[in-house]
Amino acid sequence: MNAAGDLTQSFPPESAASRGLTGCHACGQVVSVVEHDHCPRCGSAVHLRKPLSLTRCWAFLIAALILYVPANLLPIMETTSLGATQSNTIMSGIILLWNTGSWDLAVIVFVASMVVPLGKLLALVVLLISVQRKPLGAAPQLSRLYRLVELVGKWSMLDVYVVALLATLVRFDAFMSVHAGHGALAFGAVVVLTMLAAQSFDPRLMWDALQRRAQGRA
Amino acid sequence: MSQDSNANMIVCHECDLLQHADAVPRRGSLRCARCDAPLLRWASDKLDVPVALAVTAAVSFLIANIFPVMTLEFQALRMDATMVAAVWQLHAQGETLVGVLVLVTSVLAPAALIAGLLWLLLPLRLGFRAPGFAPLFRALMAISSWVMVEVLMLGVVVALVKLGHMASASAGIGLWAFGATMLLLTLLSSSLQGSVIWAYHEAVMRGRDGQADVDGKVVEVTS
Ligand SMILES: [Zn+2]
Ligand SMILES: [Zn+2]
Repeated sequence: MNAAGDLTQSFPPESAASRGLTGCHACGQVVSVVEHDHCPRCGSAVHLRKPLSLTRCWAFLIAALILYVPANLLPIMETTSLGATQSNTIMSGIILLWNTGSWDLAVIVFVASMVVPLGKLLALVVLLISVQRKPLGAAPQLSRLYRLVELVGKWSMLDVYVVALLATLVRFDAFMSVHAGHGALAFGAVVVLTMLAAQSFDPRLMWDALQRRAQGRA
Repeated sequence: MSQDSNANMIVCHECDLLQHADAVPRRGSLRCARCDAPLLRWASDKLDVPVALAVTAAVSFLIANIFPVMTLEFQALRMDATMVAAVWQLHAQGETLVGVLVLVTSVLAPAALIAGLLWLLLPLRLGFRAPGFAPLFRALMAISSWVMVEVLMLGVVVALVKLGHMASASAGIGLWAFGATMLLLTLLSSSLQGSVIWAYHEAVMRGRDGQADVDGKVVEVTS
């Protein structure tokens, strides 16, 4: 626990960490990490910064990026109608919605399934580079970006639910049936992995990095 | 630093700024002075409200899972979908992992969240601390980001439109119950803040010890 005392020197002076304090991530209690390694109120492990934040974030992010390929190339759904099978990827499902006149829903699904996952991956890369290399924006903007990533993450599950419902309802044997495809699995994994990446990322590191640069310049 | 000098301090969970906790506005959130992150949302000091909401949520979530969320009628055939049936069907089609994902995010996580909240708050309302309070609290905080009831609602709407072209698809009682659950969870969200749960806990424990009266201002930090 003595190491914590030295560690606090490397944090910006305004930060709670520079005084060896942190807010418990679960209950919000202000806890001294010099005295405690678990929150005295709720028992959560307390750290000045999330352990291995950047490594874990990169790991989840890269795994998500890799799975993003099969998620978009493999069919998420197969429709068998009178012996003929039609495969739909996420994108072709959106185009189908558009062509059948539901352009409003096509836009919603496009945002949830294409814009959100890709935007999230990009945003996390921007945040990671901002911490590790050089800031790609002002701190308030980066903070807002992080908050947005946290907020929209789960909406990408939309297509997984749609496939689950269609596969359950459309089971008219020879006439028509819908089967879930492996694309749904890859896509679900991308959503989970990007959520884990966002949860691993510690936004306080952005402020540490910005402060450190400001001090370096002064 | 003593516990007391920390009492009115809060730490921003996004930028780590140590600051004094001002009064929480009735609407919106108390925000970080530096990065504008929402830190505190106002919550009622009365336990009756969240307990009543959680009981209602438990009932509506039960209904949501017993009755079909959607029904498809095609000529003389009729297919119902509950979420558990959907999970089973995914498993039957060899997509067990997708089924697990749907099961966790639309059934298990919301059920655990509602049941866990009741387990914490109901005994507090009756004036005692539930067994396993702290471990269960930590589990609840970890679960909460995996509850996706609102995404499921949108999913049903998309599925209704997609099926509308080939057969008569209709929303079932389960869907309305899911909608009610979603609404109740939204109303509960201010009581689901970690610090608010502990403020309830501290108020009740203080009241029971007879040391001080519950002045009941729940002013704390979100996690
Ligand atoms: Zn705590
Ligand atoms: Zn802040």
